[in-house]
Amino acid sequence: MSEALAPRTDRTLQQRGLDLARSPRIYGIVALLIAYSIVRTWSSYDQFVAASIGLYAIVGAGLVLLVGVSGQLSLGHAAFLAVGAYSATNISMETGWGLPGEIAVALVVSIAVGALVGLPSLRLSGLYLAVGTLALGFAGQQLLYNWEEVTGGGFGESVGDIQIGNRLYTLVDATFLLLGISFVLVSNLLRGRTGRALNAIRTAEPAARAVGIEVARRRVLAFSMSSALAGVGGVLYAHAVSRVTPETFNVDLSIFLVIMVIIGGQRSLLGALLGAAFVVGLPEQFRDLQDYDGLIYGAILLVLIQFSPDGLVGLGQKIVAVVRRRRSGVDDEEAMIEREVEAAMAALEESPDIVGEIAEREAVVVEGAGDVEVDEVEATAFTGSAGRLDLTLPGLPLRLTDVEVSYGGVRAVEGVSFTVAAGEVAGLIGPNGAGKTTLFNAITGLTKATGSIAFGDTDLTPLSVRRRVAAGLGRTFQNLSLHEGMTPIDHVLVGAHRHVRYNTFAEMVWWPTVARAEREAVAMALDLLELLGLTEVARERADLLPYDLQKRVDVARALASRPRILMLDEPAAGLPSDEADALIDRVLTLTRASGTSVMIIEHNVELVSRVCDQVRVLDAGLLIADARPAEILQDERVVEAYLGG
Amino acid sequence: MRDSIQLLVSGLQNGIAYGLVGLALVLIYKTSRALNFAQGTMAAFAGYAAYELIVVNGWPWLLGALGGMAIAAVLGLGVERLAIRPVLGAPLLSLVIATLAVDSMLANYTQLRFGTDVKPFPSVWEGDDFDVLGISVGRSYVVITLVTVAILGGLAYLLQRTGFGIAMRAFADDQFAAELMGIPPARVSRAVWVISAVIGGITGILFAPLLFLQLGYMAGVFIKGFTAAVVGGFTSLGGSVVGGLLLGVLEAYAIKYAPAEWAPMLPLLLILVVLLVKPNGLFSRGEVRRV
Repeated sequence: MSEALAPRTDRTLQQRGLDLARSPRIYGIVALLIAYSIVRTWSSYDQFVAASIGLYAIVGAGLVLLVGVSGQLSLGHAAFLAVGAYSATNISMETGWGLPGEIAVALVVSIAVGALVGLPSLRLSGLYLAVGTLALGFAGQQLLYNWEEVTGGGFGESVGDIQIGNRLYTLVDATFLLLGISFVLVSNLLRGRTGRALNAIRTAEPAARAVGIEVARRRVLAFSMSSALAGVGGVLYAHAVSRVTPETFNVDLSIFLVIMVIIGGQRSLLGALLGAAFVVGLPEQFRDLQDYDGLIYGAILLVLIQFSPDGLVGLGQKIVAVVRRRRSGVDDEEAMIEREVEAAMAALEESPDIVGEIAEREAVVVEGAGDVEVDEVEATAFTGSAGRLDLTLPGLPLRLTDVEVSYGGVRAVEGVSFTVAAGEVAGLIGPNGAGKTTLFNAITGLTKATGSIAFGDTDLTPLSVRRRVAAGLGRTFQNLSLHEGMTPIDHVLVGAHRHVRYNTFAEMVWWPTVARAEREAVAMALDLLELLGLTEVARERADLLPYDLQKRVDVARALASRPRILMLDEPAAGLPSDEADALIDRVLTLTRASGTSVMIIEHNVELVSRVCDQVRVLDAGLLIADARPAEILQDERVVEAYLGG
Repeated sequence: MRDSIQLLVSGLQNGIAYGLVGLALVLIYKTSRALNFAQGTMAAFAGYAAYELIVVNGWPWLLGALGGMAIAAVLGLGVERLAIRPVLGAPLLSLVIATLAVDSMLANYTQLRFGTDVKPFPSVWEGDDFDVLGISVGRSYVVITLVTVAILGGLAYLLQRTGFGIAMRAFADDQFAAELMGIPPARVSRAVWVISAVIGGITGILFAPLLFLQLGYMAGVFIKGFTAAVVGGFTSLGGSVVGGLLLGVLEAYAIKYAPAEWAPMLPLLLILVVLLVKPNGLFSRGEVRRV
């Protein structure tokens, strides 16, 4: 792809709320440099306050990644701050390594301690990390009191000067340097596949697993990164206070850090900065209130989690949106169409074959500026040609032998055996509760099953969900399982997680290969969305779209995972029959071209008999028929199951 | 041999107390899948309230303790109404963060209201330790044991045998379905928080003579209660008590034989080992999903 798409890429990859990443990063860096040049001239006490805000913002950046984006809670981050602080005291007093040495030791130790607690707790779903880190924070502080050689016990340790090579630097120099680096690294993780994967896991974990996202590994990455950043914050903390004592690093500090990020805005770096400024700055401004800080923060937190989950940043965004709408009278839809046109113009340079469509869109803008109706009509029609997309792969035979699923004493699927041939379009029908979705879950590995499931030459039975996805399984969800707050483009990119590959370290510095991979991925996503008639809404929140468009987003996500067998769970349910037909036909055109197998769970027997090569019927967990559609309709047992039950 | 048995007994004494703290956590988790991180602070508040009644106002011990429990009940009611109810049905993380907000506010208020000094708290049953065949058994621990057994039995009866208990469990399984069946979520949530606040209050009052009243005096016990609950599988009431006993005994031996630096690491190690080896806990029938 040419550079024409590049500026758009930045914008589209955005979640709502990740503000530094939304505005071009360069503004952030310029703002930081300006702030630095101003803060340098301040009195030493004011510099200390500014540096405190900076160091808490660094810790906050890590917590944005952990709490806001991955949805995990740590109540032991004080321990990582302590690791950084005592790394600083020991290295600065006993070696000549200077600040880089302090940071290096802090990183190594925090990540190691983080892994010790994170690995066991993050394998499990739920809030086990909160429990594990709570115990870590408690035990850690006791250790600080007792381990006198390293910590100086209750008396504490002093810290040396900030030194890089042979030069001395001020606290403000070091803070701004580390703040800049941390924010750039984290903002890149947020806009890349890591942030996308974490958002996907938080908002719909089963769907994230079903496209092969390594849930535990991504969570551990987020936790390690946040431990490391807390360690860096701890190094700066030591230099800010000059004497480090254990009583600082209690559970209250850990809780305070979490509160800080949520007050500021848990899903954006700007939120980390605002939160830090708020909790450090407020007591500075209003000294009388210091005794009441717990009451004040707690009350603000209670109000925010109800009315503005994205904290002060979310509140600001709401106010800005209202003010803008009032002042200019331009509503969002119109602005959206304008953006679409811009985007289409940019895309035009790439692919001349969509000229016609762009002309159409312009016509929409000219004739009905701000007219939502027209826009929606446009979005619901399937448009474009599929020519360039080569997503799906040739199918392989799927062999089920004696597959059984039991929940407690109830057998939901009993001894089911059949084979879906390579390239076959297979129907799976049966009354409600027959075990159809359970069978899908068993095949994809979301539910434990006995018996054997083989795909081509691969025995899937012992494989994890992720390995099964790698073998070629892709699926949609009856309840759609969309990712809240994410756009259709994001959903496609989530689906393509296994194929948009790059090294996480490269991602942190946004290496050119990463930028290219992301641009290509977005181009692919736009092509796929065009094919499914989602171009017009590609950058809106998918979870707020009309139901029929949400269904297409779910299908788009599954297609983007490049399956060898596409498993559709009730793709027509809830759709008018012409639309259901159109959606299925569109998908089948694509899969037939590549020879991909398809398996469809459906209640619409007419649809099934029209498109399927072979139909299996489940009733009360048993396979009662396996035949061609025409024969199925004659089968007495099938008619009995449907009408007699 | 006698030393060893003494260690075991001391460990069991502490352990049953940890288990009691764990019970309140398990009850909330069982019925709303939430973790209450304000539990320690809420328990401590009840301890302070009882102190105010017994020592400052001169109420008889038992009456003052009942007063403290009543205040704990009111506190539970208030916390549920102001912090928990508004986020019922929101992602679990919001609920848990609401408990952090409560913790922050209540800890601050406790300090403002009762000060930072250390206060001695009279025991319910004053007197020397019992001497049972040369093994000493503390009177407070005898009381704690009896209370724990009573609460455990009461909760088990409530959850298994009464209509309201079954409603609570249904609520935990599927809030939406429970609502459809006519179980009012607000009432269940309120009852659960009041009951667990009262259990917390009892622990706060029973521990006050042992630890003395001081800011955050329940924090360490609270973390050990958490450990007990995790070891017990977090959904099993009896498991929590057994988990507490295990922690208490291990701790008694660790303090005696392990280097002083490392003994406080025990709860952490125990949690990590359980999560690693048997994430359902040692006694739970429920499923914990791995990812």
